[in-house]
Amino acid sequence: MSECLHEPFRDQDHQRASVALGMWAFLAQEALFFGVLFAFYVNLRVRHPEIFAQYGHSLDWRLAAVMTAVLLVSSFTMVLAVRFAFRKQRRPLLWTLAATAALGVAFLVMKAGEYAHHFERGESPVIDLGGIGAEPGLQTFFGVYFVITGFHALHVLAGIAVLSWLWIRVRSGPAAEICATPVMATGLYWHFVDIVWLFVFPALYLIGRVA
Amino acid sequence: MSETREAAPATSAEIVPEIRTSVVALVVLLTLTAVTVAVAMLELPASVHAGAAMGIAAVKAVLVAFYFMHLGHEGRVVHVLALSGLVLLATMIVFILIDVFTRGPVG
Repeated sequence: MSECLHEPFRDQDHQRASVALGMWAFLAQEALFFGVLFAFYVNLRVRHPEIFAQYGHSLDWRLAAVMTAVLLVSSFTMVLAVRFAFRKQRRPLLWTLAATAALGVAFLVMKAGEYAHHFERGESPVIDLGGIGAEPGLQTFFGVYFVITGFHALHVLAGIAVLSWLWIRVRSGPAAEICATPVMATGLYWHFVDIVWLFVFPALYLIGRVA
Repeated sequence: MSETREAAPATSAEIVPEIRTSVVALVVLLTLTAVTVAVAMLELPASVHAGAAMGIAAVKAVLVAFYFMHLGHEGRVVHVLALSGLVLLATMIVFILIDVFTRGPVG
């Protein structure tokens, strides 16, 4: 118990509330970071709807729907992990942390498969310097796609790294020494990354259906 | 689960949701994902599509924030922070939309 409580905080609840506050401040600026990427998307979508009509359907919405479900289920296992952490239930906590990380890995494996597929077909964001000044086209669409999904995937990767670290920490100590606050903080981050995907999914993958 | 709480920060016991509540939230979120896909298949004007897709995503985001991120149980300062992030984000997107919609032909 005392191991988890740090200097300026009078008790666990005080510490928990402060960590939650810090995480929400961090997530608010993360929302703005993704907001900038989304502004990039909005601008192109309004000014050049034709590139979305032309290339939107080359994205696999079925796979993306599965990925959405995987992330939502991982958020659920994360909620369970936070619950087990606060109740100091070591074994269920280890299982739910592992399940959350595994679902994150499954998401990234699907993402990697998707990227490989697009690169194979020459659908890359790499700009042809000879084409600068030309109308937006394939590279522009896949530029938006790779930048938005790429930054999201990096966030998932960071989440998996932290989940693994938590797992090792819980694994190497007894149940009485489980610190719940870092698990809660990781949960807040993980759910936020899930929320970002909830917007990315319709914005990129379903738009091709309209056209 | 009462919404009319005092501003004092929640204790750790309060932020831990019932498993049943989380299961219901997950099922609703998965259902809304299916709804988004179904709506995307309909023949509708592009603006309706954009509105429906972003509207459903926003509802899902609120569900995640309140049921998974226990936002409703946090203190007032956290609410102000979360809201300020949202307001700044909305300001940025709205002004960019005003800009792009009122420009002349691309040139």
